Amino acid sequence: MAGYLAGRVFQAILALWFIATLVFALSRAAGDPAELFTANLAAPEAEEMMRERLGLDQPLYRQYVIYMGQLLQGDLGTSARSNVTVAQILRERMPATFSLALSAIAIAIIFSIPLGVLSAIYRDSPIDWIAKVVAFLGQSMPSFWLGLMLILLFAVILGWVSPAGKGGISSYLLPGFTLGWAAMAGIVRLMRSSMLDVLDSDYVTMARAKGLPEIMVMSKHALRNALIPVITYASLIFGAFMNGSVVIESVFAWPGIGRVALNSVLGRDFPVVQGVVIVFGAFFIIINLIVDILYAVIDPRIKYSR
Amino acid sequence: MAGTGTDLSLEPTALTWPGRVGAALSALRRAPLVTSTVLAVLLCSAIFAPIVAPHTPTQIDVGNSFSPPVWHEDGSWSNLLGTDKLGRDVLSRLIYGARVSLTLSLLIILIGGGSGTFLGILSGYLGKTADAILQRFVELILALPTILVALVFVFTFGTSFTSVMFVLSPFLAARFIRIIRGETLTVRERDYVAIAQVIGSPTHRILWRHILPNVFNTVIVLATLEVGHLILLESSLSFLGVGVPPPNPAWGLMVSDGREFITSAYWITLFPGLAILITVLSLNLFGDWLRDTLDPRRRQL
Repeated sequence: MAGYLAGRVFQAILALWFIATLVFALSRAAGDPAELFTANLAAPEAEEMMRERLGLDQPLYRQYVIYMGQLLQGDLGTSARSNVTVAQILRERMPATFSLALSAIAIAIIFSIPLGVLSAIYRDSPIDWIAKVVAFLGQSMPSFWLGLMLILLFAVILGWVSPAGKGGISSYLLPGFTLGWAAMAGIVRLMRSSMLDVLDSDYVTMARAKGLPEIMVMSKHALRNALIPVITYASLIFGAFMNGSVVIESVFAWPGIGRVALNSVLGRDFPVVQGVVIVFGAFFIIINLIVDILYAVIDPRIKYSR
Repeated sequence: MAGTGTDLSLEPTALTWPGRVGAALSALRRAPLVTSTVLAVLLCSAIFAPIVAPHTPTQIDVGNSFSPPVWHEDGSWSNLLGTDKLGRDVLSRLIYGARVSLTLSLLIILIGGGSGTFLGILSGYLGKTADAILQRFVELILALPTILVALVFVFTFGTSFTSVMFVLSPFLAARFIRIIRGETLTVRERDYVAIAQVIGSPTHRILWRHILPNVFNTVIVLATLEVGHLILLESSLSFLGVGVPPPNPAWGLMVSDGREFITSAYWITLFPGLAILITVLSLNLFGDWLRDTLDPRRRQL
């Protein structure tokens, strides 16, 4: 177990280093980094100053060492467009992305767990078919399009919620639902098969045989056990949400990290691109790491050999 | 319903509405006639786009912009699904868009899936150091957030067809390596491989004659399921403006073109999204069916 954990942590660190190096390599492969860092806005003298300040007159390996050193100290540089540090931009925008991901998970769970449970109990009934349709659509629908269609229906035609932007609780509904639906597909399928397994088990038969009311059998014996794999899966999705937020935040004009990432790419603001990718990538990797560790702790049957 | 003697479908209470939708979906799964037809139509319209499409997809006609679909009062038969803000025909762009999406995903499948299969077989069959190194690399790639990596990549190399191809191929290759390697590990232990080794067949011959044919079903199933996934990814990138560059008629790009006008001209956004949905849905259903038929062991795929 300890060996497995150590290996897994080492792997995560390796992935972090890989991302940082990839970003460095790409920035140097793209031509003159001084231009990248000033976004072509500056006068030639300013570019010259930038070249000196960034240490671009140094040999490449020195540049790499300096870059890594700054990263380790948490120095992500300053935006080329405004005078704000990248770290500050990230601090301001992170909560919005985080709360959106949480609401998407909540929405996905609220819809898909009852749907998965009911479709297992009432197999081949209409509810089972609804669950299948929900799952298949979730897997096949482009999320950016679903978002736009929801805006059209609920904000423009029905006028129930505001079309975009972050405000009160109601502003979380559409983006949360859009982000959550893709996740529902997996949760519904897993919940259904997990519940079917449990319903087939000896302890459920036993509970029924001793005359427990069906509702008690379901809630106390079946559901509790069936939920275990589903919860681990749901936490795994969190990482995927960080990825999907680039798309969703663009559709809903959501003031989070994903939107900063896209805008900085389109606005050619390299320091911000670099900072967002490294920090976002770190989040993604660390969440995957935590989930893997939790998984190993919760489910002792997991194989520690890789 | 056949063989029951009475025609159940005539009874008004036989099926509820959701039941009916579900039954249709179930029929799709049992006999993939509909999905196969949809996919065939798509493939044909992609291949024969210049013949099938009523207009040139990039032909600008500003005088005819925002013309609604034919079923609207002021719609015309000349533009069945309406026109966009530059007066380009939505239907023609959809048809050519199938070409863009399918070509791109098939190329990525060929490059990424092909190299992934090759490396997966090698890694599984040879084992040892090469396998260990490759597996660490696969885990590394699978730990990266795809869209973000694509963003940086596009930032440095610009938006183009080839950018998308090169940035998505390694991700696909990693998925192929992981699964094909696992498959190879079991095939490697079979008697016919042992016999081939004993009679002294060269390694390349064993890989080609004995291993590859026995993992090929998995390759086909995986490829079918991944095409849908790739179309979704590519269209997301195009929608964000970091995928296939305009004025190419990529579906994701078309959805993004219509965004600003969603209240006044919904058709610009609606139809390309539906095209993606129907294509990916068909591919997923078809892939599921294929998996159940060819490769029943991998239901968890």
